[in-house]
Amino acid sequence: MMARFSPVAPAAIRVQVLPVGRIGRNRFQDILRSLQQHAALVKLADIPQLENQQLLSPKALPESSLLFNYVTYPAGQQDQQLAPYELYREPLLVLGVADGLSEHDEKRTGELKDAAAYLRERHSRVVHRHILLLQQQAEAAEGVTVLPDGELSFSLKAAMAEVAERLLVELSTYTKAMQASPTVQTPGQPAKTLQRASSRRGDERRPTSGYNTPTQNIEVSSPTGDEGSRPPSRGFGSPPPTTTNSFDQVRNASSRAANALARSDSNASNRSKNGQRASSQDRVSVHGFGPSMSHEKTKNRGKARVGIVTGHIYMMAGQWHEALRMLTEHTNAARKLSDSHWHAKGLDGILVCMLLLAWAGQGFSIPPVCFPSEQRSSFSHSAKLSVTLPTDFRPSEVAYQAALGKLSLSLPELLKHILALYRSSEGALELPSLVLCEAKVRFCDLLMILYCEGGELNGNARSRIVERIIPHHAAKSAGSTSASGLPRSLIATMLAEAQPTDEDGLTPVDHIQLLGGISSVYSSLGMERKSGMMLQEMVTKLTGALIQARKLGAAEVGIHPAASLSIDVGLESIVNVAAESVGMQELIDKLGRVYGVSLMSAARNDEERSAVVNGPFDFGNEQLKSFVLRALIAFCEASPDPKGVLRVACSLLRAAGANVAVDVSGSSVSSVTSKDEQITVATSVSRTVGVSRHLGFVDVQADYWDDFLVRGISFLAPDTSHILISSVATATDTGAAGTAGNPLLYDPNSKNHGNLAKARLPIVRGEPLTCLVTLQNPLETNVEVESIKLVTGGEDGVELVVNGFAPVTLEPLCFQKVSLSVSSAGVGDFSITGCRVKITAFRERLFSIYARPWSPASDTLVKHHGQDIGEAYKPGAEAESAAVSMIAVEAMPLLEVESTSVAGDSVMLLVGEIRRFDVSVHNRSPDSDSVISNIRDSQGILQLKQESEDGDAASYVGDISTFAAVLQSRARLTLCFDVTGKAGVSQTDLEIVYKRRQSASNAEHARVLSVPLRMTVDVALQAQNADVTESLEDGFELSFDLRNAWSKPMSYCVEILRLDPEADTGIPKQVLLSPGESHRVTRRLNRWHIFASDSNLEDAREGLLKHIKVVWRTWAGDARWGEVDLRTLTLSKQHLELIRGQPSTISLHRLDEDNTPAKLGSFITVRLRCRRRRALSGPLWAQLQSPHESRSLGLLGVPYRILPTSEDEESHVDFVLCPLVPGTLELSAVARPTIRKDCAASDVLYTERPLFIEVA
Amino acid sequence: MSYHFAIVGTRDNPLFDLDFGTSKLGGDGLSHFKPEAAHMNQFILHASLDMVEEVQWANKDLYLKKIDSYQNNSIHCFLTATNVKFLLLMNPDPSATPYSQHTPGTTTSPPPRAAANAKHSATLLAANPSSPQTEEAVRVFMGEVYESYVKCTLNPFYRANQIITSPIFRSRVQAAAKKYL
Repeated sequence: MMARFSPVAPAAIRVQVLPVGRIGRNRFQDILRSLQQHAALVKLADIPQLENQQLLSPKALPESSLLFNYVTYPAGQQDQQLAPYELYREPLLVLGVADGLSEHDEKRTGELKDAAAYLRERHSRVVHRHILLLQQQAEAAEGVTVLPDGELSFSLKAAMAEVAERLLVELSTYTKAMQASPTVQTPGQPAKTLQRASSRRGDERRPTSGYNTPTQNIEVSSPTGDEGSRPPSRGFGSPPPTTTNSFDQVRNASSRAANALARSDSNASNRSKNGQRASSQDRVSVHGFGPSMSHEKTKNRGKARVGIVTGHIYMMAGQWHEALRMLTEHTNAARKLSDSHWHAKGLDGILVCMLLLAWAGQGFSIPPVCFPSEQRSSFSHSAKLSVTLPTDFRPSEVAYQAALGKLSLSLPELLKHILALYRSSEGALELPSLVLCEAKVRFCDLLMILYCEGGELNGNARSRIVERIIPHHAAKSAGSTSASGLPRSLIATMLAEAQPTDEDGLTPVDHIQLLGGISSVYSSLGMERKSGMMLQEMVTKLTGALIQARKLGAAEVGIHPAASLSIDVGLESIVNVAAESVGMQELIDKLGRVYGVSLMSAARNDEERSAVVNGPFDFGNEQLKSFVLRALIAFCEASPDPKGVLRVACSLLRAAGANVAVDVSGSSVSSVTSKDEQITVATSVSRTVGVSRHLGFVDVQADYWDDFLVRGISFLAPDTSHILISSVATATDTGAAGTAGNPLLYDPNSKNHGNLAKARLPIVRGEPLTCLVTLQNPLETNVEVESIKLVTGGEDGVELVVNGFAPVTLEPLCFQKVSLSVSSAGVGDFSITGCRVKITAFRERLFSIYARPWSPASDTLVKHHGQDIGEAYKPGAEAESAAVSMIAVEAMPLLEVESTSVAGDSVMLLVGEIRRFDVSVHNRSPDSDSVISNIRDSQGILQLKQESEDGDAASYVGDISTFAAVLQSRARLTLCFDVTGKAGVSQTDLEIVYKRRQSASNAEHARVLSVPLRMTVDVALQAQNADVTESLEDGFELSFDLRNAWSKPMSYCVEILRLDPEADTGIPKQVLLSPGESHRVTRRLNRWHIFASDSNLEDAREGLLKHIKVVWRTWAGDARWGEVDLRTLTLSKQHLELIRGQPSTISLHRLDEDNTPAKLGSFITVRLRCRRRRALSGPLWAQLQSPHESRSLGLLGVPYRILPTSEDEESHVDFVLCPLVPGTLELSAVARPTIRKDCAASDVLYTERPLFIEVA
Repeated sequence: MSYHFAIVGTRDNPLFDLDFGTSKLGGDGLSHFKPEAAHMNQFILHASLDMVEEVQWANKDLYLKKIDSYQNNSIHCFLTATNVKFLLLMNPDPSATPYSQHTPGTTTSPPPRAAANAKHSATLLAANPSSPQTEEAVRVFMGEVYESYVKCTLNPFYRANQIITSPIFRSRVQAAAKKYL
């Protein structure tokens, strides 16, 4: 496709392509696109020549080509006015693409004739009209070409060659007419300063008609006077269709009137349009043609102008050498006559000719007129050399290269010169700014290509100039200046001047196209930011124009059918503009890239989307981002492009929400957009979706902007009877809890601790569980959640079903917990990885769970330059998505308490009273049996009794924690307990732990049935004022007061429990105590029955309590009985030591009869007995001692023995002695550990009393 | 005669901006930009970054002089060693800048040329932005701002590309503007 701002655009023939017949829209567009792609260049060699054509014969220069620029829209008013000056603006060829005509031959011929007549009538101004018939069975006719068979690109090319043949014939006629005309008017507008003055006076500046040419005024005053200024296209044409048409009718070709009446009408309308300023325009126009000019000069000038126009026609017709010659000649004339606008035009044409010749590989020389006057002499000399020499001496290739080099060297200066000439004013007239701006863009494009190719017009550059083939290598990166020394800044400055302003009075289409052209040149130069600014302006402009067009369109429908003709920029042409510029998507993407806007990706893939974009969010200017996004929303709304609106609006909302997982503090939410704006954008999203749906676009749905919507999933604990406990893993749990890290010490493994032993949350199959989903809404708008589904992952494929979710509205700026009732259908391990959330007006999509606050971390090192942040950007840590691991277990039985034996709320007990307590439980579950595996009691005051077969006699089950019973589904079971009253206990919880029977998979899960038992415990018999006294050997006396604190008399008895049954004291005596009365009880106990260790004195108390028991019963009313809690007795340390006694004692005894005196000289056996309560560290060394002289006592052996270590408490060793003197023999003993080193003084044992033996 | 001064970080992100007017020749020190200039100035400065990247390699000084212009705005640049740009946009007559923003429906009549002020404003710095006087004044201004900026970034809590919020820095820039521009 021939671009509007191509450097060789002036050489292109504009072809207006129109649909004829019932051709499908897509078919037509396909053909148009193929034409633009394949038939934009038609080589002259391919064109057949008619026999007697002298002018513009294609055989004159077969290497050259015709350039076609295919468009679908007609030339605008301004283009028409500029036409003879810039002929390429006007369509010279109208090509009707016909299809869907009748199959019948005659009928079809008639239809084609009608179409041709219609085209001739509608487009009488163009040089040639042709119909391209796509139906291949038809035969060609005059002005009709049938598309030949074969591949579309070749057949189109062939067809266009045929069309070009006719066109050239017509064009030569046109040229003859042009050459015959005396002069051509310069299109102009009053110089800006004057224009301003007049507009301020008249206050009616209109952008579309601000450049009325003097031609119009002349035309109004004398319709025949402008006959020469615009050659009639049909004047000498072979079939003169409407010879009566005069030129002004041609000009108003849009009006369908062909008769004189219509002509006067159109003139009238023209007059009314320009009537107001006719006076000032007249005054202005007079300046250019003042009486000071001589007739001769005017004639010469006219000749030069006609010559330049003709030269352009030759250039279009491919006669480039001839065109270059003509243009050089007439441009010289124009320069001499200081006709600066035509001078510039001529130079422009020369330049284009040279470029085309260079492209075609033809030799050429730079005419001296191209150089400024001061350089001309030197340059002309060298130029002449380079022209003349090659033919004689040098090979033509070298000459060609030399000319190219010279051209590329002189280009910047030449372009500047042409621009200066264009800019100058001819009297008070200056060229319309469109010409100037367009020329600037064209020249900048040329310079840009030159710059990109290193300042050389090499093959790449030449094909880029003409064929617009953009080479693959990228534009030079920033900082490297071109080898030619052509600075980018120079091109940029020139381009900046090309930017039109509102004051230039351009039509929106031209304005927008200019901006697009400037933007693309900037982009090719690698100045993306400048390009972006132009694009942004273009978008704003386009939006305004679209809205305006829409308004006019609406008015057109409502007001008058003819009103549409008065609109010079219709909706269609704007849509065409939009279609011809870069695609909308690309445009939006590019703007986003330049301004650092992170646009939502257009991809629809869920997997792709679930990964959080961790892009450089801090790139660019926040305010500009928001401005650009708003402009884009307006643009998409005006286009109308509902998908674009949604995409951009969501991006804006995401930018407003800063794309973070918000912290609770909320400090990270920056607000670029105001609350009102957020609400507006959110509304526009829902409105767009609503309208699209109304129109039938069901798939128009937005992607929700916030990836961090789901911030957590938790489960509400079910009520206590439904809670599942783990009966196995409790040990590891407590272990994990116990190792809480020191907050002051760094532990690198502490982070990993969490995912090591995370208990899975159980959910019972078929039982609903309440799930809380935490959603964040960082914006100031409401968000309506339509549905939430939980997404699970895991090998077992367990899925969670949400039951009956009611839509929820998320309040602005908050976290909100949404509760769902979920149940599982399967059994097994799984984890909840995310939610599928459907939000009103948005597509349902998957959201991962982001439990922790997160915001994109920026680079701390700055290592990139310019806008290419992509490669250099090192993203920070990605957001961590969480998962909730769960386990779905089989249906569990559910036990309930049916009845208890306790009437009312609580039970009254006396301290120590024992009462029976029955609980009846019922398995509610219809299909699962239950196993009671464990029964616990929080206070330890319950004892389970097993009912025996005959009912009454019950026995205790030793340990209730190991009890097990099976309960069938829907069965009942009664459990009997004994409850003991305990001071200070007001409630105990009976916990029955049960699980499902026969299930290996979830054996570790159990439920607890908890039965609370409240009680009031009153005091009964109190024991106090304990005292302990030493009594006989190995014994002590315990005495305490028993007081009846109960309001009724009760009797008690004290039982002493002995270990040895033969020592039983018989039936204890019952004593009655009246209320308030107290008795002192004294009992003697043997110390050796009380086992107490040395280390702990409290053991002595425990030992004591094991052996003494006080049982009581009441007599009045219900009989109550129980035991006195002797634990309340306060025993001092001394008492306890007394109870425990000495740890070890030794004593001496005579083994034979005790009291008889021993005979002198006889042998007596004395036994040393040792009682040890603790195991001493080793054997004892015991020695017999006597205060007497050693002669009075004879001893068998030595007086000391080793007492062996024994496991028993008692050990003994015997001494045999013989008294040698009569009287009383006194014996004592001492013992100490055999190993002396660790022998302390306390370890030495002495006999308490000496042993006296009477010796007779 | 109005100025817009901006510090732009390495990611095209503005770190600081300030609007002010001239205080010389009886100026009130306030900016007189049009309302649309609020964003247009930012667009212009953003676009001129392309020129900074072009000019910076051809210039060995930190101060790059006048680098770009847009309509009657001209932009001077100072490039720090860390690729942070100080951009100063000056506009001799903000009311005469068309900006070319399309406002559908209303075609504003062009504002009167400041012909009356022409003589007065001809002596202003921004009237001829490339003149040696202007370049010198801007150079000194930039130098002073650079000193304040360096002090500001010496703060150990300042990260690269962080927005400068220090009121002291702002007042120093204002003082420098008053002194030199």
